[in-house]
Amino acid sequence: MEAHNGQTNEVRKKAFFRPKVLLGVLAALVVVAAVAGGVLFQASKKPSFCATCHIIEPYYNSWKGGDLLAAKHAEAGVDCLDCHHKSTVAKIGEGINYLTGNYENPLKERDFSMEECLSCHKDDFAEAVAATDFGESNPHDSHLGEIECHLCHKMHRQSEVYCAQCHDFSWYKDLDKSWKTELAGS
Amino acid sequence: MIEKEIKRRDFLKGIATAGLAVAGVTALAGCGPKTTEGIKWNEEADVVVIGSGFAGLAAAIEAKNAGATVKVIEKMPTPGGNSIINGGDFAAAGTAMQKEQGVEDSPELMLQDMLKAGLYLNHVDKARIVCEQSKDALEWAINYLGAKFARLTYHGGHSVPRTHQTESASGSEVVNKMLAKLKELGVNVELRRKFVRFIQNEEGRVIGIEVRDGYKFGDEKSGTPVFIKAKKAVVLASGGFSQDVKMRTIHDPRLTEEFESTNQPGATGEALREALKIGAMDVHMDWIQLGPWASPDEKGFGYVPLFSERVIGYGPIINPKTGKRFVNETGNRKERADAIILIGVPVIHIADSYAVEKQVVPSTLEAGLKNGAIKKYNTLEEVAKTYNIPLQPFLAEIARWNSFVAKGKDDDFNCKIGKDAKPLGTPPFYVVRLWPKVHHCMGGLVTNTKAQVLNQDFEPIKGLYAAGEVMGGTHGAVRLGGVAMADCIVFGRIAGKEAANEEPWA
Ligand SMILES: Cc1cc2nc3c(=O)[nH]c(=O)nc-3n(C[C@H](O)[C@H](O)[C@H](O)COP(=O)(O)OP(=O)(O)OC[C@H]3O[C@@H](n4cnc5c(N)ncnc54)[C@H](O)[C@@H]3O)c2cc1C
Ligand code: HEC
Ligand code: HEC
Ligand code: HEC
Ligand code: HEC
Repeated sequence: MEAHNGQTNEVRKKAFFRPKVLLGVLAALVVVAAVAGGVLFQASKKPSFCATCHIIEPYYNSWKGGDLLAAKHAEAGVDCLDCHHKSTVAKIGEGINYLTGNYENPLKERDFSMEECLSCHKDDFAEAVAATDFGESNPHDSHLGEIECHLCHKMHRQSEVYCAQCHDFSWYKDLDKSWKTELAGS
Repeated sequence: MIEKEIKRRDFLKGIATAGLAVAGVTALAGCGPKTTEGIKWNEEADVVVIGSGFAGLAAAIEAKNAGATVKVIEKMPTPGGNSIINGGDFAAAGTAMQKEQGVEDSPELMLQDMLKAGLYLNHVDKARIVCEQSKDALEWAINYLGAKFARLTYHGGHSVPRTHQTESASGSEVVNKMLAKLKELGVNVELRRKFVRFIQNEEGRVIGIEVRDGYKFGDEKSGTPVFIKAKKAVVLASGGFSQDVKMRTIHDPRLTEEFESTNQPGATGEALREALKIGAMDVHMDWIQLGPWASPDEKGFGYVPLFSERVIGYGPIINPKTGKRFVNETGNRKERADAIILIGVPVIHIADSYAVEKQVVPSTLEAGLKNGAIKKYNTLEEVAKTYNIPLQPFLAEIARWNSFVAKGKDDDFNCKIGKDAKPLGTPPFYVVRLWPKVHHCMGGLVTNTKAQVLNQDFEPIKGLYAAGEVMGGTHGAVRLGGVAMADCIVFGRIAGKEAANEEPWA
């Protein structure tokens, strides 16, 4: 089954090879340039960037308003560059990846490291651990030990509780809309 | 065939990114002489361990302590495999805890139990090593790793209480201590790195591996190829294949996707199959253990096993179609699971509040009641009604069971009646439904007593060791509860030490 899917992907990829690569490279370069230059906001509004607008827009929108974690950071005055600043170099590296292989999905979900989150949350993490002691279990303190934040928390997409692949904890249903709760129990 | 094609394309794509010379292609065709000429190694270590469960981590610690440089790679985003979700029961014979509680035991008795349950298919030399070194392995976990073990428990098929359970009733107690120890030793588990294939030299010695770095589980296109040189050896500790439906139905066609599994999602068999591709020998592949204590009313492992396995010998297991018992509740996992599958519908395990209060951890009971997998009733009539059990035969069977409990002997199925069991009768009555889940692969690679993987000519494949669930033979047909921990840690340690002792090829 796996192999079969792989094959159709391969075929599809070939057909779309050129446009997708182009798009990917463009997008990557724009992200790099925009993030580095701090003009993401304007860029995403300018018609001349419209080839990439639809790519950046959701990120901007998820920050500007709505239920996702990015918006909660916006409310606290945290903006794009507070999170994406030092990654310019890394982004260029990613650009190369787009060139060579990852063209299928130009804006692939990027994994933020635990260190990046803790650069702001070091001091309040102990509070977070205490706040999520739901009795039944604690997502920040379990048998899985220290695990990456992004396994649960997502900024520009819905967060999901990693534990749900094995456990149906009753606290899932009390989580707010930044969380995928409908999945729990499936 | 298709799979091979794709691999090959991936590899070619990999060459572009990793900047490999084209000569490496010969090795990848999967036939003809393997050549390393032109392979550009991205990284290296003396010992490269695949998998971060008990076996891999034990091997890594021992190899490091023997002076080798070590790398541990893991395909999942979190370490620990099945080991970090396991129930923390560690079988060991002749331990201090057993002595304290007046339990007489010996490695010889443990071996007899393993062989009996294993239908005498066990590779006795290896089973004996597990038994003889089980006490030492447990002491290593306690004294060297600092893991805490709180109680002695009993599992079906053992002749005495022999399983030492971690304080948290979870294998994570040991895994997390192993991870901490490795960190102290300067070794970090490299997550999201999937092992793809072995690299061999002209003599067939395993000299390294190809991995996909940045791999996302389930997306076979994700990640980029990285070549890791193993100057001394590779230790394969990739666990079992209970979640690999395609592979498990080859070996036991009954085990279709209709059956759930207790395992972590990454318990698949590709790494084992890579070893077979380079000529390794396998054994007992169709002995795949089902957990007879699992419930269809909760996902994964859940709470019911911790209920059912604690009240065997205290409460009977009933066929709801007849109202009668049908199996020795304290029999081994295979007898029980096969009997349930034969009945064809989930069966009922019932215990009264005396037994449950005595045997079941309160938090387990509470959690099971909360998720609905454990139910509580005030009368036996109510139980019969809820599960459509014919009432009169059911009541008669309970009376018969109670007579066996009273005299401490089961004339029908020879169930081992609990030491202080009482006739069932104190309400409320607790009931769970049981339907087996795929739990453990007894089969795997054939290794010798030094944990070296043997090839089809019975010779060690140079540079390749294996330990843990990926290795077969020790358990024979049936693994007894708690013996996986002993097996993984005993042979993981052996593999690590032996691998570190190899002469480096480069
Ligand atoms: C729910 C549950 C409870 C259990 N309870 C007990 C118990 O109480 N007592 C007992 O003795 N046994 C118990 N067992 C069995 C026991 O836990 C396992 O047999 C044991 O953990 C296996 O250890 P391992 O090191 O061989 O493999 P694992 O711990 O499974 O580790 C193997 C690792 O290798 C990784 N891997 C696989 N393929 C690749 C690849 N291609 N590239 C990179 N990495 C790869 C996997 O993702 C995994 O992390 C239990 C099992 C389960 C599932
Ligand atoms: C609080 C930190 C934070 C803020 C503020 C933030 N981001 Fe992100 N961003 C992330 C994280 C974390 C990811 C990784 C993916 C995810 O979690 O959704 C990410 C990923 C991205 C990506 C890469 C594609 C992807 O899905 O991984 C883009 C593009 C992006 N953000 C744009 C923006 C823009 C534009 C803004 C401001 C409008 C912004 N981000 C604000 C944390 C942040
Ligand atoms: C640049 C600093 C910064 C970074 C980087 C950052 N955060 Fe935050 N985060 C904040 C601030 C400020 C708040 C709001 C104040 C508070 O609640 O502590 C916040 C709030 C939160 C909240 C609470 C939201 C709510 O109100 O429910 C969560 C959860 C969170 N962050 C997770 C993360 C995760 C996960 C990451 C890494 C992907 C991350 N943060 C990265 C600064 C940051
Ligand atoms: C296993 C899933 C999981 C992981 C991994 C995880 N979190 Fe959380 N986190 C949660 C959940 C669930 C909440 C509760 C959200 C709520 O109550 O709305 C939460 C809440 C938080 C909060 C807000 C706590 C408060 O005061 O209400 C912060 C801050 C936070 N997490 C930071 C982190 C950081 C930093 C990491 C990585 C070191 C991390 N989390 C890893 C699941 C997780
Ligand atoms: C891959 C499957 C898996 C994942 C992922 C997982 N667990 Fe578990 N967990 C288990 C299993 C299996 C057990 C039962 C072990 C035993 O006690 O026998 C368990 C036991 C527990 C227990 C103790 C028993 C109980 O449920 O009261 C808690 C608490 C727990 N897990 C919390 C978590 C939390 C929180 C997460 C997410 C951060 C998580 N688990 C992720 C499989 C998993």
